Amino acid sequence: MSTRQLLKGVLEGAILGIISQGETYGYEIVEALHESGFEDVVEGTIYPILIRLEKRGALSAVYRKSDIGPRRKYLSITEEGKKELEEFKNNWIDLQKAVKKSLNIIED
Amino acid sequence: MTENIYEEVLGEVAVDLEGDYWVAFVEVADYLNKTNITKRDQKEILMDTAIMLNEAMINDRPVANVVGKDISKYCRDIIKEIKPYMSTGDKVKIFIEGLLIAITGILIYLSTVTLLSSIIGKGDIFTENGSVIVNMRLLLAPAIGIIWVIIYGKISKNYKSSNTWKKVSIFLGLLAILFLVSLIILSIFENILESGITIRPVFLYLLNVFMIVVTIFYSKKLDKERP
Repeated sequence: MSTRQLLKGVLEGAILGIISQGETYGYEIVEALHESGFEDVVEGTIYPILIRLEKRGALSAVYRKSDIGPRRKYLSITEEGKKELEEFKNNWIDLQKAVKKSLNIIED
Repeated sequence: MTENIYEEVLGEVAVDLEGDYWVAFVEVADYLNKTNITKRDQKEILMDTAIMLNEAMINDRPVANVVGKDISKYCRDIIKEIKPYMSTGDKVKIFIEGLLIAITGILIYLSTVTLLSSIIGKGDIFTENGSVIVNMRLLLAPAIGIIWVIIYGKISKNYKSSNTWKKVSIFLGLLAILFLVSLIILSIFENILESGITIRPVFLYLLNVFMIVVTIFYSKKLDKERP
């Protein structure tokens, strides 16, 4: 798996995690990702991932007027999305353990 | 896509794009217009892009944050995510279109070979020991293939929007089909002639014209469904 593919998979999980905390929209997700440490992520990076999650049924979307006027696309996690997020969390914990063991990183 | 459609999408999301943000939006719209994704998907992508560009404009962030440096790559990345969810009906339509192109290409080749044979005289494709003689008829296959692909490229949005590698693979695939199937059919054709059954080339020409019309008609019909 290439670094880009790995990052895409990780971003997908991170985005599901952010949306699972409550209804949100594109730029708010980007800001949340920045706060989490994904500093290089921009709207254009996450949009294909959002489309994929939406098409797969992990997210539901609704266009609604925003406080500042123009409409926004608000995203929520679906039951399917919640299952995917749980699966991602378990896989991530396993992967983290495996990498730590391989690199001989000892936890405090 | 006409300016009315741009305005319709922008009106629906209530945004007013300016300068580079407007240019990027139009470029995305033009690119999507040449692809074979559904009208519903095109509209959704355009609405989302308009919303993202508008937020970027209001917050003084660069256009590249939304569409990157290469707009065609931005569109391709999105289309790649949408394609696997295309309906079976749409996939079947694209398959039929490809099949029609291949059959028509083969018929054009056969007709040309038959026509040339009747003008310049019959020549053998194989020698007695089975090795191939590169004569006019064999060189004709790639030539006819190139002409047909160029014509098809002019009439089909699906082909125009394909990336370079897809175009090359369609082109090579078509040439391979033309070459191999033509050789097989021609060898059968000559055996039939030897056994004394007369095939009137006029039927081949008529079938060829019919298939060209059907293929172009079908392709144009699909293009209308991909506004």
